Amino acid sequence: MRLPERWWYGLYLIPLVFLTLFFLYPLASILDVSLRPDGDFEPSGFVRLFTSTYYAETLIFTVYQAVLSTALTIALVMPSAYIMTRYRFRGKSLLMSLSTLPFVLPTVVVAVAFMSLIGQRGLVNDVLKTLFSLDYAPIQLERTLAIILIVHVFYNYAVALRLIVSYWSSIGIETEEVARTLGAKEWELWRDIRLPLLRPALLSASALVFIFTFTSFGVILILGGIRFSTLEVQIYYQAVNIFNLPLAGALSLVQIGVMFLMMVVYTRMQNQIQTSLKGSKLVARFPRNNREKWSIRFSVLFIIVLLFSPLLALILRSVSIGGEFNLTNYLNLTESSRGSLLFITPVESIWNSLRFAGIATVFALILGTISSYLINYRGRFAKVLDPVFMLPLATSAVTLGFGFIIALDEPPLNLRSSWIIIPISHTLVALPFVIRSVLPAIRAIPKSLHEAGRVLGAKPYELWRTIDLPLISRGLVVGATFAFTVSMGEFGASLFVAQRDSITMPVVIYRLIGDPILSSYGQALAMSVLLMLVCAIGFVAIERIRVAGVGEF
Amino acid sequence: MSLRNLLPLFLMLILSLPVLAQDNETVVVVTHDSFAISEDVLLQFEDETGITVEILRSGDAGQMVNQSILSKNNPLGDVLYGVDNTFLSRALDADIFVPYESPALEFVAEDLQLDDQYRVTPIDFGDVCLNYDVAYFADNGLDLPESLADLAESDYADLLVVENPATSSPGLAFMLATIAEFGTEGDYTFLEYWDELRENGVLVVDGWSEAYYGEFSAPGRDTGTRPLVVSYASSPPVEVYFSDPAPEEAVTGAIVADNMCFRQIEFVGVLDGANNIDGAQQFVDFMLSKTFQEDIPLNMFVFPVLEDAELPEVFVEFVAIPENPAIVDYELIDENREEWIQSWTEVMLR
Amino acid sequence: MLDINHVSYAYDSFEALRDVSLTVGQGEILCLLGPSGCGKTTLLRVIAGLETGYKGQISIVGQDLENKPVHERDFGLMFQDFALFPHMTVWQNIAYGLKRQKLPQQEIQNRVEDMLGRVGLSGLDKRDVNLLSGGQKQRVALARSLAPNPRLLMLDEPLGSLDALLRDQLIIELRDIIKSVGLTAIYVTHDQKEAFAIADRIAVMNRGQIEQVDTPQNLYYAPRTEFIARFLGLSNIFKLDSSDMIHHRLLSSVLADYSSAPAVLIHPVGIYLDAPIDRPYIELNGQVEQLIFRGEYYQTAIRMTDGMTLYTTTRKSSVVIGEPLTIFVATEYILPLN
Repeated sequence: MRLPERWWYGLYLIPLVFLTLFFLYPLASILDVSLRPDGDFEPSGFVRLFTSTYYAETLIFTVYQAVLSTALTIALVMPSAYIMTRYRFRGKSLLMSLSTLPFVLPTVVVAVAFMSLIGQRGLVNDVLKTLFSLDYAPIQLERTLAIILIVHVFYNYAVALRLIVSYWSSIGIETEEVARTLGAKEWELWRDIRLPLLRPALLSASALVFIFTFTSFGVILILGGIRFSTLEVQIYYQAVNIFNLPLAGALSLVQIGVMFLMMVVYTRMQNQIQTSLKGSKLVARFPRNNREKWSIRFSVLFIIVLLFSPLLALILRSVSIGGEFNLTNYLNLTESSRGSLLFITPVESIWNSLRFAGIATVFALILGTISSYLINYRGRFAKVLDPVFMLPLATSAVTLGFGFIIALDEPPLNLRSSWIIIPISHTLVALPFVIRSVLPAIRAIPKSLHEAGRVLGAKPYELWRTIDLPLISRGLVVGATFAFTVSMGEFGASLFVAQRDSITMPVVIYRLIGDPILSSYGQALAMSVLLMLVCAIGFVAIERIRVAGVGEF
Repeated sequence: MSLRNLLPLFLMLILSLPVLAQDNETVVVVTHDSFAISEDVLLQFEDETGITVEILRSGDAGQMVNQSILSKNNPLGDVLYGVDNTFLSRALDADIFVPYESPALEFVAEDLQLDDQYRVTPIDFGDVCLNYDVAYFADNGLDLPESLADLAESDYADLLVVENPATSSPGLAFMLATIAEFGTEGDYTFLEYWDELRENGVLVVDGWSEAYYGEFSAPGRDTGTRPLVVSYASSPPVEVYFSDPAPEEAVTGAIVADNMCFRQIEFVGVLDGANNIDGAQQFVDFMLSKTFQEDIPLNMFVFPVLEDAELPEVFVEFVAIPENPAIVDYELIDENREEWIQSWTEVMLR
Repeated sequence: MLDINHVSYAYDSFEALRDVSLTVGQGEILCLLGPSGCGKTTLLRVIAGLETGYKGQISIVGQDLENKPVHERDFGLMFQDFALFPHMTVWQNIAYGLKRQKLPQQEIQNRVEDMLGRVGLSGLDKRDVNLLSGGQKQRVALARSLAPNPRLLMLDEPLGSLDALLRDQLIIELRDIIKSVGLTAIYVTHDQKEAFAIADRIAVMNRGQIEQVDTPQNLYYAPRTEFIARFLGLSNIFKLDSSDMIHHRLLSSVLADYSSAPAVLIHPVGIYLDAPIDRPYIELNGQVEQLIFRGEYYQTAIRMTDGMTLYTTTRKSSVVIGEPLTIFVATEYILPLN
């Protein structure tokens, strides 16, 4: 698009102003608090960071668990990827589609689901106890590294699977067939042909999973406890518990730096994949013999068990009390007393979540669309803008929340006690998702359509309304659904900024599961199921529209 | 965009306007998760004054204080209850209170009134001591630990649960007791002691509720496995009180040997910038009233500060009072608390 | 009706148009012909207002177009890739311009139906444009640009993406439709067959400049520059200062008159195998060197005695390779080229 009429410039300013006020300003405050805690330059936070081995160990642990999670995920994905690429079978596209559900589920829900399955009071333990007449729980996975890894695999399975399958499908099978004729056995095929050819996809998937597990917060906070603190958890801990703000600030800056680096690496790898995608498609065929059939069955079973048993356990646990079907947990959601842990009833928090998500979606859509146009606008400026708008994705929600509470506390932006601060933080988190859905749709519009419209007499606004809007509407819907789902499940930033009557569902769940009183735990289960349902609905909507191939995720 | 399309957006925005303020006056009490008081006591206040009381629980004691400091310009409520002598300086330094001298302070012991500027008012006190599961120790023929050092012995491996001093005030109190015992200088400091405890399998949890109700193995809990917990000297009487049927003897006990306990005083303060300063002050007065003070022991397992408040029978019968609780100089705590907690964290939470 | 006066246009330090002047008369179909990169499309876009910042003047019936925005110019534009709105039906595409003019619904209905009839697509109004064939898409694009009754229609290689057979068919239809409406049109192409078929006049462009504006016949039979001659695919072009120097006495006496021109064209159409009766000619002797069958004719290369090779076309199969041949060149077809 060539130079727009003058009044468009005003619109373009809006996302920039938003980013400056609600991202750059809090970021600057973090910088300020970590380098000048009392007004004078005094990087005590950084000094502590570098002199104490504890934080280096925290960073090392963060990397360590991320590497392990990545390796485990990829290793478990590969057999399924082979099956999915190679064979056609009934229900395959449904399975592929459903397997992405975990990805949109909030971390709190997933943590509670796994607790329902393999936690101290989980389904598996109960079954084992009755089966073997034990009086103690045989599976003790809470607060171990193992459960963290398992949950990470759960989350990222589909992401890696889809990436690898789509790449694998575009590589021809000719090389494999040639190798076979030359005498290669199955395992040699893996070593010499398949893995080497898949390298770009494997690297890209690994990078993505690494990024997600590196920044994992809710899972580690709830299931790992403070002993397994990663960078994110440590930021939270230092800010909220120890109250060492300079140190929290220093850690935040380290986190941003590392994340930015990783995003650069990842986008480079993605570009590599795009360029090396070959034309021929691998034709998936029906299985021919029993061996193949059984390996498909096994694979499908594995995926289903891995991805759905925790969710099923969650639902089961939420409707059973003392072994019997009982909906009290859900009924309790409308209650609150002075003795309760929450300031409002759980049901009110549902209403909070919904309206905040609605507002955040609208904001994110508007800002995201304008930003997409801004990025699409050819020019040197645009090259700088794309990563700038991606920065909120690189900054973790925890850091964002932390920045909010130290920055937005005084006039002119005294929003601390206003509920509006929550949808604003959610908008920031959702913005990159909207851009990633809308931008490709905008780019796909041929320039000649605009020119045809102009020649036929359309004024600039009419042009947008009659041509752009219908053509990007799919991207808008996908973006909106992403934004809504992300906002509903947002935990890291909300933990910082939600308070009193503006708390949201994920925060409520978190508070309730920490309470040893059994009824609170039950309420947490019920809330988790409800939140899961909302996200599942959003997910179905996204998948249906995504069939048209919209967006980059 | 036609008006039709804008309407849902408009509706959504309108519906999110904050609920109109309530008609009657309220006072919001910001407190930690372990706050408990009888409902009829609160109702009495509401009837007498016409002010509705709302309780805002904000996590553990440490988190609560930090939250209040962070929202200094926009206080979360009208009064803050639950800041104790170990976290006190952090709150006072952040200047979040507005002074109020309650007339009821006349009936409170001098040595409990730590702030001469009346920014905070003492409400209750307790001794933070180890509690033990009587049945467990009897069944296993185990002797009670007689000093803090004993806890690092293999006899007591995997038996102890403590609270994180960064988040819990009894946790902090216990850590201070260890500091009083082992010091902070020299070859063997409290940090080395804690390292040994860690190797001996101590379990660290965030808050007192989780430790006492979740991990402690005393009867009445379904998941606890640890027979030693950091709690209050006044916890055993309450256990007896709430057991059904009432046992003849205590099911839990407190270890009150010398230098194993730490005295903790809890305060309330009126938050600077609160909506209802007047109501807040009335509530502070109420907290020092006989009704409230006498309700404290069985709800929060600590002692009232009011000199002539009557203690429940069960308290008188089963309580143990340490003769020589550990003492750490108030100024020292003030100066070094953050550093001590940080170092503790670096040793324990790896 | 359209006056282009000394227009120059450059972008990214590339001079796309250099001092171009042109007039298009009312009801005329003018073709801009030239190789890619010559500036013809750029000129079209400048006229449409899609490019701004040019030097010079463009005016229509006396009104200067300088600051008039695209959507107010009342021109029609057809693109090579048709640029049909993929999210609209045939009817909606054609009606688009009419809606922008805020015409009453009934009139829009009438016009669209009329257009559909004119382009031969009646009955397809509800069709999804993505499902149409190439030829049908082109017709919809035409109908769309004609519907608002523009005072000038511009076509940018509209047949470029169609196959040859379709092109030959459609170019005639296009001319008929445009003429039947009485429209003034500018047609851009690099294909001379198209240009000859559709244009009243052709402006040949090269490197941002117009080399010659003339009727198709004049252009073909009397090209004025070497570029045009080569572009039209005419052979027998000789540079006078090169080593191709023609020594034949007879030829050189004729050529002496043109010695100021840098090149000369001996138009293939003026080479006869029999002596022409009604026009002056010169006689040349040579030998048939090459005879290539092209279906309708033979492409013939004749080597003259002084070494020059002339190309022409013959029907006669009696011409044999290696045989001596006498040809007759009409002197009016020996042309100087600039």
